[in-house]
Amino acid sequence: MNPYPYLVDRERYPMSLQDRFIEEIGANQRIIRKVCLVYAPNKDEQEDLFQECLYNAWKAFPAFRHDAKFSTWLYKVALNTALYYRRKNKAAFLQVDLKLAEGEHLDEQDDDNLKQLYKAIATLNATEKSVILLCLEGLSYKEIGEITGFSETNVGAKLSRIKERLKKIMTKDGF
Amino acid sequence: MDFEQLKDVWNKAGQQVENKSNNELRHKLSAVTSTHRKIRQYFQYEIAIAVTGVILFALVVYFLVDLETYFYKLFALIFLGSTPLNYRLYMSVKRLSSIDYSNQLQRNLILAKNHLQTTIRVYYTVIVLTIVALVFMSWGDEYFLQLPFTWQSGIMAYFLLFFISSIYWVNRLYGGRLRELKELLEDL
Repeated sequence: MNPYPYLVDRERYPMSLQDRFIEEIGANQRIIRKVCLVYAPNKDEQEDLFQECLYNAWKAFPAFRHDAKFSTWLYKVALNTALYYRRKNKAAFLQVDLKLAEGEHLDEQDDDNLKQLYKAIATLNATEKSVILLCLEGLSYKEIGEITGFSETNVGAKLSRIKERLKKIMTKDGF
Repeated sequence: MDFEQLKDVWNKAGQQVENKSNNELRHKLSAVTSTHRKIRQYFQYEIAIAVTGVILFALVVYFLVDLETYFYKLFALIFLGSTPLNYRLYMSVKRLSSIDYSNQLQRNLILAKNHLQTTIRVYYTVIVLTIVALVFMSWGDEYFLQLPFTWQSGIMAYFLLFFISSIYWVNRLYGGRLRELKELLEDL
């Protein structure tokens, strides 16, 4: 039996604001997870950052208007939270916990590539991280601009610079 | 390896990100909300305790201790100097709890930089004004002028130490973060 029938039967159970929020977050939580992976160096801090994102999203949710996509809005909240988030252990910033990058169903080659990618991303500054993350997620220049506040031309210029840097780092490491 | 291949790996990895059930999310939200509520409560308690402490101290000094006027002037100036700093601290805490996280990243970075810049300016100005006022008040006070030279030098050295350490702490607490924000904004 479904313990949360109000999540399914909306006519009988009109959803509260929190129910709507949880449902939207549940469907888009991958966004927060990705942001945490890029901005927090280890599992504990990722969990902390996840909770902060959740809390800030919940606080901002009543003002969310459906004129924008929920995912775009959530990227903004999660990235803003990550930019404000004070790392507990600054020294660990560049030491990405590579265990986090291990995908269970990835082949060895993909797994190595992913580890190198996370390692390379860890060397970028906070705004560069947000741009590359959004690009890897497949967002258009326009959407990236909408989230970050940069012009499309600026996004393009930044991305080519970041890609060049990532390439250099990964080539140096033999990829 | 080109960027498209990296994107492909990224997406494959993304499909394996562990998803929490709505129930777990609800628990997490309720836990973090109550933690934030507690932190706000503690902050209110701290303010109440600090205010009570100041009032009690003022009452004790006023009614029970017979001090030279010079010391009253010292306390008054330090109290006056600390008032705008406490107010700014209160404004910073208020700002932290009212940040709009759904703003564009650039806009929020600019707002944070401006707030921090004003905070540092307020702190520096108040510290300098307080120290200058303390020095002027001392050299214009009869009790201070009658003190032996070693005592006068000691008090001045204390003011200097107070000035240097306050500037050091403001710089340490806020300066690093401001430089970090400026670098990010210059890079945009």
